[in-house]
Amino acid sequence: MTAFRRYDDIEIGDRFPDQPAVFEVKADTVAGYRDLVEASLIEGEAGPTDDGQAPPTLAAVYIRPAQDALNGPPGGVHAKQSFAFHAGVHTGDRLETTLEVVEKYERKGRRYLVSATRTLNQSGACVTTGRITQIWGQER
Amino acid sequence: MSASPLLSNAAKDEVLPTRRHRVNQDLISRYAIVSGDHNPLHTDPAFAATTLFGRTIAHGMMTLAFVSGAMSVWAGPAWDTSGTMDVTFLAPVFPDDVVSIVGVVSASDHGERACSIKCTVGDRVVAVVETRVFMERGADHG
Repeated sequence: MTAFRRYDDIEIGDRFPDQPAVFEVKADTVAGYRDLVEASLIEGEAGPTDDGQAPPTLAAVYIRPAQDALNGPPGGVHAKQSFAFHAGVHTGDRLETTLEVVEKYERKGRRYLVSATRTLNQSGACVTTGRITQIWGQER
Repeated sequence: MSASPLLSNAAKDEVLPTRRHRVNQDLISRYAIVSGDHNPLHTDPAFAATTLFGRTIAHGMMTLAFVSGAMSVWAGPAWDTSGTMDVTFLAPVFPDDVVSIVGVVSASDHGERACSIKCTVGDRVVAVVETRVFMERGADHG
């Protein structure tokens, strides 16, 4: 059985993982992500075709390794998310994401964890910043 | 490529063209594979049955992808390099739901546009999103 991190063991200011999480932007990942959006579209104009630039919310994918380093229990729920896109992300980019816990609170019996993310590309340019508010899964 | 004229010329309170996405379990499972988010709440009906939702739900980030797709169409390439989005997830999206993305221009000031977007399933609001984009920064600085 996998040992999940306990909510009480996380402190504000903690960073995950120890070293920035690396994500290589591959063509099939970009294509697969774009296809999910377009394949489900039943009304409205189709989005831009793949020109090597990733849809900006691919951020949800490339910050995932940093989120996974939190290693929370299953069943957690995403309550809020913000992103600011600062530069385009392209196939072949090598991205590094750091995640820092910035807030913890409990409300209506639910435990919330707020994290800030920052993603740099291989040139050191910041491509995306984000803020995630998640409801911690049950530690059963 | 120049910015889309849709938001370039949009005035405050203008309603943007509605977009709709059909969600099913296959789409949710594909999103789990592409995103690497294998939370069983999304992919394991037996596990999901033990949660307050009672069945699998879509990833909130998938709804966010639908919103970003709308912004890419409404704002053009400026969205990729100058957009911001702030979403609150209010209710789950279940397999076989149809998610409507309804946007209204909430501010139009020089080169900046703000949109208030509601994501709904029928009468149920599943997410609200505030976006901003700077239309004159359409060039890719990456």
